[in-house]
Amino acid sequence: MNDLTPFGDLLEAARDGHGQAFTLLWQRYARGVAAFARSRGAEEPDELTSDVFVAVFRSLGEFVGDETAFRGFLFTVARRRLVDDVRRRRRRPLTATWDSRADQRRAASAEEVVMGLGSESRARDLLAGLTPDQRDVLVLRIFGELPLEQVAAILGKRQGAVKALQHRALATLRRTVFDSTDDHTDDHDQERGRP
Amino acid sequence: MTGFDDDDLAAVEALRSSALGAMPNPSAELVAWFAAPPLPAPATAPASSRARRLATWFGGLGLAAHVALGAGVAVASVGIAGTAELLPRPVQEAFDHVVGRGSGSTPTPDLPDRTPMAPATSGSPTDPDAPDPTGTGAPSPSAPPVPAGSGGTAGSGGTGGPAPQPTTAPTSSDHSDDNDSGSESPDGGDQESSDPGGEGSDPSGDDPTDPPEPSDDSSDGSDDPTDDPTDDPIDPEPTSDDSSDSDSSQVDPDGDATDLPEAEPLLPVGP
Repeated sequence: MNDLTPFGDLLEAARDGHGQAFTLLWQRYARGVAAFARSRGAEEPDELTSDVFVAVFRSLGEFVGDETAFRGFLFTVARRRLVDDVRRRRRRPLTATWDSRADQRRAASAEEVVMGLGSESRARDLLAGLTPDQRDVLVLRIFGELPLEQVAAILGKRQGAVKALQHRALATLRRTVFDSTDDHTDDHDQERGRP
Repeated sequence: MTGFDDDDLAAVEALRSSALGAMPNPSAELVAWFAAPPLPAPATAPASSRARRLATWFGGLGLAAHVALGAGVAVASVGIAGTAELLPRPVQEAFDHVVGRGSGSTPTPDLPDRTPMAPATSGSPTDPDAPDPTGTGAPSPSAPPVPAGSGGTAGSGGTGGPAPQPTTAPTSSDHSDDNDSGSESPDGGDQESSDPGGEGSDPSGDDPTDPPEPSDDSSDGSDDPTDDPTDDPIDPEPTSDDSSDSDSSQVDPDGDATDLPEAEPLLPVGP
């Protein structure tokens, strides 16, 4: 078994109890689930992603469907876990001591601007202009690689509404990316002395 | 990933390459799962979903509900077996008795308890001068042989033979079948409603047809209820020998028989 193993064989091997099949399932789909958790502002996205996979692995015997259905199953569980996480945090407000390194209320340094595209702050900036619904649609579409109808099913919305949300989210994201690119270019121009 | 326009691909790629899609670290539980996945659950025999739901529902009940449900099932089983006359004979007779009383017919006294006193009732309060328990004016001499001859079967309804019918038809005869005819023997009427004297006419305050008093006295070997005038308040001729009996009857825990003889000397003393 490797990364190119078809999903059906992978699922069959996991049902037979092969550990490598579980590892491959994790490597194939954990990134999207973690991205979904991070975009929702989960407190511990990695821990939540692991919980989601443990829950899915436990009920793998009852799962029926193809890879797309498995993705939908995975993100449905993830969404429920995220809802529980949000409720738990509302009941118990997080109290933390102030850490200057964790405080984001400051201007970006030159290094951060240069390395910005791959950093967490960059991801946060990209998502900042999106509404929560737009964020969910984009993350499920991009990281979850789910079709529109399945995103609509997971979020409990109509397919047309999801399509409209995606359209507006992409427009906002495009603006944010181009603006930041322009700012980036301006910064480089200023450093080189161009007008 | 298809479904995006070319204009959007740059934005999609920017988001995809951000830290949002970083590979997460598996938890310790998940790492253990990768190392040694738990064995898949063995396939269980497909049980009926209805039976499984019933078992789950019954298991979820409390102790009181379990007891009540078990008692209900037991009563229903006995009822069905009794209706089909599958019970043992004594139980079946008791069942018929209970069903006969509960079916709306005239309530019957417990005739089997009356049977032992039937031969010794020549001077009992019930026979010659006692008020007609049925209230029908039927000749009482025809009454005693009925319970004595029918025995315990008269009260059991269906098992008894053709019992003599009372001279007047009971009011509930429309609702009673032949099995109930045994329960409508002359002393089997509604005693409380048809007793003309009622409790007020009884000096001892007891029903004259109440069997326990004579049977209790008859069980005492020293006292003959037929000779003791105190036991029989209707007996007009007490003898001198009966005075000792009356003394002995004063310690009778019943105390009913001593009321009248003691009341007579007190009359002159009174105002």
